[in-house]
Amino acid sequence: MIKTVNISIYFLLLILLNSCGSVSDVGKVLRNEKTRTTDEFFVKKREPLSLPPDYKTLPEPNTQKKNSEETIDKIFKIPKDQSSLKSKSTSVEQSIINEIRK
Amino acid sequence: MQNFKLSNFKNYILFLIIVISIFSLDRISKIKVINSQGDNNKNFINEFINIDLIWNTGIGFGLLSSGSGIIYNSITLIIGLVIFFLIYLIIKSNNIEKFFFSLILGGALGNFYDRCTYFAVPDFIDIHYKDFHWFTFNIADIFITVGIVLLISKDLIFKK
Repeated sequence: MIKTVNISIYFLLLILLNSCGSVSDVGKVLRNEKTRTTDEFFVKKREPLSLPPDYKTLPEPNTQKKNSEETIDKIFKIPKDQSSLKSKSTSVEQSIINEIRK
Repeated sequence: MQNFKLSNFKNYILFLIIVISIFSLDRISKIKVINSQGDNNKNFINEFINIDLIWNTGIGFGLLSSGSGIIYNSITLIIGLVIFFLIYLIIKSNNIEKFFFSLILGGALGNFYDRCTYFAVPDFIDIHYKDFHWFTFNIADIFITVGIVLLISKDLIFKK
C-alpha cells in the first residue's frame, strides 16, 4: 500500500517538475499559435512613400532648360557670344514675323 | 558522534555539488540554444534528433499550458513548494535516495529558474522517428525523469 502511494507521488512529481512540451507543431495548432509558412497567395504590402537617397543632388525645377542649352553649346563648341547672337537673331526673326502679321 | 556529523556534512556538500552541476549544465544548454535560435528555427542534427526551441508555460507533457496568468502563477507556486518538499526529503532520506532526490532537485531548480525569469520553460530536444515525434524536452527533464525512474525502480526492487 505504501509502495503504491510512493509510486503515485513520484508520478505526480514527474508530471509537475517535468516541463516537456507537447510536440512542437501539434502544440502550436492546439494553442492556436500562428506559424510562419511560405504563403504563395501572399500579396506584398505597398511600402510607405520615401524621398530618394540623392534627392538633394537633383536639379531644381526650371533650371533644367538652361542647363540643357549650355550642354548643347558645349557639345557643338559654340562660344557664348555666338549663342547670344543666335538668340538675338531669333528675336529679329520674331520682330519680322510680328511686322508681317500686322 | 563528531565523525558522524563530519561524514554527514561531507555528504551534503557532495549532493549540493551534484545539484549545482545539474543546474549549471541545464542553464548552459538553454542559453546556448536560445542564443543560437532565437527565431524559432529547427536545427537538424540527425534522423532521430532535432533541436527545435519551443516555450512551455505548463507542466509535464504540455499539460495546463494556457495564457492565463493566474494558472501560471499557481503552478509556479506549487512547484516552488514541491522544491522545498524535495529539500526536506533529501535531509530525511538515506544516501542512495539522497542521490536520486539530488538529481530531481537539480533539474527542478533549472526549470523553476526559467519559469521565474522567462515566464516559460524552453524545451529544445525533439526526438522523432520519421513523422512520430516524442514530447520536446530539455536537459533538466532528463535528470528529473532519471531520478524518478531510479526511485520507482528502487521501490519496486527492494522491499524496504
